[in-house]
Amino acid sequence: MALQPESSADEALSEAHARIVQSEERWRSVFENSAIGVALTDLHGRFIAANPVFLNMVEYTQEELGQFSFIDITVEEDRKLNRALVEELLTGKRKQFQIEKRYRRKNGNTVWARTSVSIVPGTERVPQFLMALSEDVTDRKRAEEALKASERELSSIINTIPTLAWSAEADGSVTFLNQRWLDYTGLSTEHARDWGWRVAIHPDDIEGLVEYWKSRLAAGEPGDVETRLRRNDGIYRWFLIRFEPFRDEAGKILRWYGTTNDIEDRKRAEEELKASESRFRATIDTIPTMAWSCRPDGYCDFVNRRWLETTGLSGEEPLGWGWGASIHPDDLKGLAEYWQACLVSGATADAEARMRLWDGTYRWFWFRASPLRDESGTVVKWYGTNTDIDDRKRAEEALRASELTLRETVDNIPGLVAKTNPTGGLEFLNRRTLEYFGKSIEEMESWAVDGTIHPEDVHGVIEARKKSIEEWKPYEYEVRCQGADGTYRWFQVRGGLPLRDAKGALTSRYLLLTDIEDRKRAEEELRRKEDFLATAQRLSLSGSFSWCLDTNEVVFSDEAYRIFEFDRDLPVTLEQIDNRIHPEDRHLLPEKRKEASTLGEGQDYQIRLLMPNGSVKYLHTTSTETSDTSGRRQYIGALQDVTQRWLAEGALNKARAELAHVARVTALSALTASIAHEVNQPLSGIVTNAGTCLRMLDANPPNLEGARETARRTIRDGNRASEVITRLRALFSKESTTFESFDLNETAEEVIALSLSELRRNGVVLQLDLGADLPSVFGDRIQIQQVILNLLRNASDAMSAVSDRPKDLLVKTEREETAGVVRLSVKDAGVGITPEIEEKLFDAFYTTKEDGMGIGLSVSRSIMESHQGRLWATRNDGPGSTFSFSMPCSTNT
Amino acid sequence: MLASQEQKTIEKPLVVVVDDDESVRESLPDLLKEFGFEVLTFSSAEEFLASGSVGRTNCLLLDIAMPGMSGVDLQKELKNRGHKIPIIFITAQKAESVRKRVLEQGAVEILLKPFSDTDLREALSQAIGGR
Repeated sequence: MALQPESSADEALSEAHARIVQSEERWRSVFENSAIGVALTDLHGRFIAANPVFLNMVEYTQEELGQFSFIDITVEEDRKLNRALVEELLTGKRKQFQIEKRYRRKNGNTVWARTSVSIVPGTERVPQFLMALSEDVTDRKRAEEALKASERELSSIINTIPTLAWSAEADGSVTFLNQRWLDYTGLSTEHARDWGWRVAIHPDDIEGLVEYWKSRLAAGEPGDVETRLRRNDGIYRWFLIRFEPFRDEAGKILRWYGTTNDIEDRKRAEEELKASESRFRATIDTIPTMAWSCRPDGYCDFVNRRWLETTGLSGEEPLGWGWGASIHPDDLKGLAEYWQACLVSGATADAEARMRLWDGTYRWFWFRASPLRDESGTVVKWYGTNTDIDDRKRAEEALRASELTLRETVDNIPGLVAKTNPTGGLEFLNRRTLEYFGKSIEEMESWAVDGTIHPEDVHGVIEARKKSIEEWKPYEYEVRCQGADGTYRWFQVRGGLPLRDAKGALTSRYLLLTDIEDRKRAEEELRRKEDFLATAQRLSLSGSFSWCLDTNEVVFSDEAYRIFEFDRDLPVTLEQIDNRIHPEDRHLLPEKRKEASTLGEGQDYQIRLLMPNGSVKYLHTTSTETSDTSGRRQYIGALQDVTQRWLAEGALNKARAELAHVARVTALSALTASIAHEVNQPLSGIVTNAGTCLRMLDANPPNLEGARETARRTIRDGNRASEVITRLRALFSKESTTFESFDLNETAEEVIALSLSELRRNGVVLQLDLGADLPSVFGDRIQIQQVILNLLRNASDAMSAVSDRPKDLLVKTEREETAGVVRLSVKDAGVGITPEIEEKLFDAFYTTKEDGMGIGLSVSRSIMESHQGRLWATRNDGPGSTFSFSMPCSTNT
Repeated sequence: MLASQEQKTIEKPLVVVVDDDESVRESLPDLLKEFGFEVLTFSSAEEFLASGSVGRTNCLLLDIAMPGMSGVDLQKELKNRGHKIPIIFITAQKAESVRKRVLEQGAVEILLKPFSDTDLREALSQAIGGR
């Protein structure tokens, strides 16, 4: 459209127009139709004209615009630069300028415009003016701003993130390093950019790193590389550098972006791991077991030396899946499947398979593998071992086979067999067991509580079982078991050692139950008897012994030990026994022993022992020959400590001797009285008769007849007296007892003669019945006479009060029914003995006589006893009593 | 009366010997006859008492220890019966207590066997002479 001139400028312009009217249409068309905004201003900047595009851009009309200068509609911030450039233009400094500036639109918004301004030279009609070509670059500018903003943000991210980051041009020259990178290394961007960053790399790593970088650049491939980076304090640490290319849509690499991360710790850990891995490897190679490791996918990455040596494979052969070559073809599939399953489930692997050894033979091995997991629980590695279990395997098979035959055997052996599992439950009971208990195996399971085992024994059984496991001993216990008939019988339960299988778990055990009821009873019986015997021995101070002639082995009973005062814990030796024998009796033993081994007869003798403390023991031993269970000759016997008895006897004998002495003395005194009496009588007669004789001779005429008579009487009496003296002398000449053979009848007659006058005086009617062919007796004649005397006097005294019947006194001697024994009895017709008296009759100091000492009968009895005889009293059928004694004949000893 | 004086017209005094000892009864009478006495012998006190000669006994020669009634018992018995016969005890027992007792009971003398004839004569004269 044509412009309407409005000012002087317009006038000039019109003139110019008039000049170039020809081309005005053309240039107006250009102006009008220009795709970019065109605005014309005078040299002061006032708008002259603007094309539609410009008008549209600033949203002013032509008329409105004519009032402004370009400065007016420029945003304030941009005015300064704008003016300055225009100034340079006007001063000729430049011919043109470009500026990106903001116009303020009519509505107040801003619009970015890239404006090129130039001076249009004037013509004759038209002065100079400025021409501004403006392009709306608002969008671009906004985009740029956004970009800048995001770039700023990006930059802050880049500088904050905890990684060293950088970027490089397509040619590899580093153009950006983030703040961290710079802070870490202590370098500035200027120093580090392009290829300057190399100074921060460890000298040994630079070459390799650069080479690698360049190769990746060339290949256009991402890369990662480890290198040592120098910290700002000079310390080198390992870093991982990763980088990637950034491409445009065409695929052309525009830039490279990279991160550099501190892996020092990880590197150290890696090195440590490597070191430990190599230590581990060394260990693994040394241990005498086959070991290997696999990756999580099952790929074998290592087998130890042992493994190689055993299988004969070498080097890399077994790696990966190559190890399968050493598995027995029949087992391989199963094993591989199982292995796969474990890899998936992560469960510990546990399998058996045959492996081929280096020599071509196959053996059973136990495969065991367990996974190694990281912190998150992911499997990172599998470690495994193979253990040769061939022998065990063969044994197992043999066992399985033999178990079948065993079962048959077990069912038939005459014992109760049970098989228990490790917890004590029942796996098997043989037929006999089931028959005995009358139950099924299920019913038997409750053996501990249902009374099958006697309640008192249950605890012990369980304890014994536990103990056998703890102490690893065979199991043995005695229990009462209740059979099908309800009664309890004693059984011995025996089991072997508690064995464990290869995994350490307890195996099942066989138990054998043996019926020991009878044995138990016998044992108890024996124990009772032994206790009884021991008690009896203890009470009687007698012990028993056995002496094996062949081995000279001696066994003593407890009491024998006690008697000999030997140590109960030590076995007895012949030497020990010999040491105890009293020196004075030492000669006896060899004698007796010789007798034993040659004659083999029973022995019975007494011997003295001398104890360590010096005391003497009297031992009475009897023994008899027998053979022991093995047929060897043996003496078994008893020995009794008769020390007490001996001492008592000794004391008794002593007392007896004393008593006998006393008795003798008493008897003597009694006898003396009796003697005195005996002698006195003739003496009195002598004196009287002599006196009479003298008087008769003195008579006128002398009475010669009478004198003769008296003299005769005197002589007679004198003789009588001397007879008594003679007898007495004989009676009391011996002091000690001497045993000899003598005639009892003779002895009795002597005593009777001695007491005859006294007896007669007492009115006793004496009768003698002395046995013919009476054998001699053996003893002390004097003592026996004492006894007879005692009996005679007693008999006489017993009849002293008798007046209504004859005082019959019978002295009788005869053989007894028992061979080799002779009896003398004195029977009176006196007052007799009442039952009460009978008891005490022989007691010492018991007497019914006023003036008696009461020792006669007790001494007499002990005299008879010392003669191996007896003295006793019996009541007669008629009045009175009979006192008798018996003694052995002299042929008996 | 002493044996030296023969008074045949006067009755001779009766001396009774009571003793269970045979030899005494055998030997004493002869001696006593020599002394001029009439003699009777008894072997027991009971015999004597039963004899009826008690009344005319002038002197009693009495043994102490006798079966049955002893000499001492006889002494007591005679006393109880009121006989005042002088008694001479003859005994083998030496016991002092016995001697004392019989003397207290009025015995004339107690002679220990064997005794001399002289001692006897003295005792007899004491017994009978004292009448």
